[in-house]
Amino acid sequence: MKILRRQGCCLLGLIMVWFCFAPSVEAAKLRLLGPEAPVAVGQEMRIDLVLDPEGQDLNAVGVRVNWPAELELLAILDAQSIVSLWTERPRYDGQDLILSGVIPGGYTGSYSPGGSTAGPGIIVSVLAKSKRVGKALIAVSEAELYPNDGSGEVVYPDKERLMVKSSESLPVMDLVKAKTSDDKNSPQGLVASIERDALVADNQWFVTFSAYDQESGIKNFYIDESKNPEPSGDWLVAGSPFILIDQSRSSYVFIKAVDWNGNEALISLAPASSSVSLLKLGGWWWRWWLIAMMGVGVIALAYLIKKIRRHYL
Amino acid sequence: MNKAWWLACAVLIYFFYLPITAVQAVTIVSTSTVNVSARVPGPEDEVASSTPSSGGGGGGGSVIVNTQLVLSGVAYPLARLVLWRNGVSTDNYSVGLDGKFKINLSNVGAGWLNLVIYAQDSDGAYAKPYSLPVYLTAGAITNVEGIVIAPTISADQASLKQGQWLKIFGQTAPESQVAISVEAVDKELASIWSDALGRYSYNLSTDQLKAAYYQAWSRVYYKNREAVNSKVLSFLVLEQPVDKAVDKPASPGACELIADFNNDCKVNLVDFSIAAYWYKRASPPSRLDLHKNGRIDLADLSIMAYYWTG
Repeated sequence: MKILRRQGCCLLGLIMVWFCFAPSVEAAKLRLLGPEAPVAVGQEMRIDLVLDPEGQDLNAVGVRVNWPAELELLAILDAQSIVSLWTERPRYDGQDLILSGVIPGGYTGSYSPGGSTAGPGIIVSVLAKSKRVGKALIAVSEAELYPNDGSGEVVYPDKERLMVKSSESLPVMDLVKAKTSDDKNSPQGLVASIERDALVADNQWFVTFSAYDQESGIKNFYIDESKNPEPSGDWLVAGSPFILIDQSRSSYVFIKAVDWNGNEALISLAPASSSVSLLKLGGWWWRWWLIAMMGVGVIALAYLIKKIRRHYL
Repeated sequence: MNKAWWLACAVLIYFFYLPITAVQAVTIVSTSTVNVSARVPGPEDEVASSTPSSGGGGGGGSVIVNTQLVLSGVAYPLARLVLWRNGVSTDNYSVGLDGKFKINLSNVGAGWLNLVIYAQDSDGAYAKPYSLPVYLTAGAITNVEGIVIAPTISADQASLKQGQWLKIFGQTAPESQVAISVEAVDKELASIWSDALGRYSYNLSTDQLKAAYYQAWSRVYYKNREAVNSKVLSFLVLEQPVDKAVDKPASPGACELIADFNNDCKVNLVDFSIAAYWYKRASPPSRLDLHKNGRIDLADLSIMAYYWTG
């Protein structure tokens, strides 16, 4: 028995030694950054969900954050996000904050002026307000990351929590001002195209689109299908891909990206050749129509001149 | 008692060893070190535009200072550089004979910009995209210097018989040291130099390789300091005479691009939309299920992001 116990001790000792000297590889970390000191009830605050890749190359992220009832969620901002394309735009389902998205090209860290090493990057920022006195715990409940190696093998990051303490006695200070009102620029990089593919919605026409806003972030995308070259005003909140309502492709499709301060970017996609486009001045048909009419006019004029000459000569 | 000891040991090994091996399996970054700096533009900066004052009557003009980004580094001679902003291709640039590039972007928004630089060599091969999320200071010129674009890597055949030679080649920065590595072979297999046009080539003997799939990659040491890895190249070594049926892996599409669902020879927003449509939906088409787990989830989209062409 003593021998076995000694063997066990030796084995444990070896394991401990191995862990002390083995090359350490840090796991990626998901951090929640917010106020460290107590805040007043009613105080607005910004909380950032941050990814520290710790030297890894990652290209997809999916996170669920338990949101405490003690904090009122005012806005979810993705302006500074490292995520390029959202599969699930950040949303609050009444209990959790949920998001997932991809980063084509991968993510190894963010660079800011004055630095030569990559630092952590923001996945999403949340503007919140304390509702009552006490402690509120924000915790990442589920998280998965994927390496940028084409393997599709999940990596589980280290998850950190954030405790926000609220106190009645503190004055409400404008410590963190929502910068959304400072954004005077329209969303950028709005691109859209109408596609159809047997793999999507039984080969129905759909529109795919994307845009970004570096200042306040995209709040919503809207779509309007109109028979006229101007929007009809029936804007629908939409996500990409959006299956077109008018599958005849005889409508103009307008896509509008709106940021959190109401700045807009608009793009329009012309209908396929149809009766609607025939009414539009300046279209390709119009040039041909003019050429045809001029041709008819020339022939008619020549015929008239010939008639007149015969009559008088 | 002894069982308890062994159990304790097993539990310890499980809880300590497993997470570490999981982490080690992840791609470890080997990108170049860049220098990021920002400065307020002066009158010598040509990109700043000037507008006449509204007062009329001649006289001075006010200078509107745009937020600008200047990217510089080395790719390969005659390469084509494509910039993605938030995953969407926006601009194309041609690289000169020396392989160096300097890109001026004016009128970019202030704040964080998810920028990716993507290179195509003079043979049309694509490099691993270079990811660069960078903070742009409003009204300033942000300089990002020292970007080293990853080498391209190709092979003359996808599968070959044991004993045959595999030619691995690609393009990188001119006259730079290139290391070739093959999975399952210790350390770096060979160290060679690229020529004045940045081309490198290595003939790999498969004498010592067992019949299996292998992965190879190249790494450039630019100016003896920057180590940047290429994409991973897969090839198959066969024991038997090359069978036509397994000569080439199953073609994922007309252009042989994985995740090119609509066969337009690009992996871009349209393919993303197709996958996003089926995200977490029941019974997705098997072609979209890149991770082969019966559903479209983040794993599939991660694979797509890896093969992204913009």
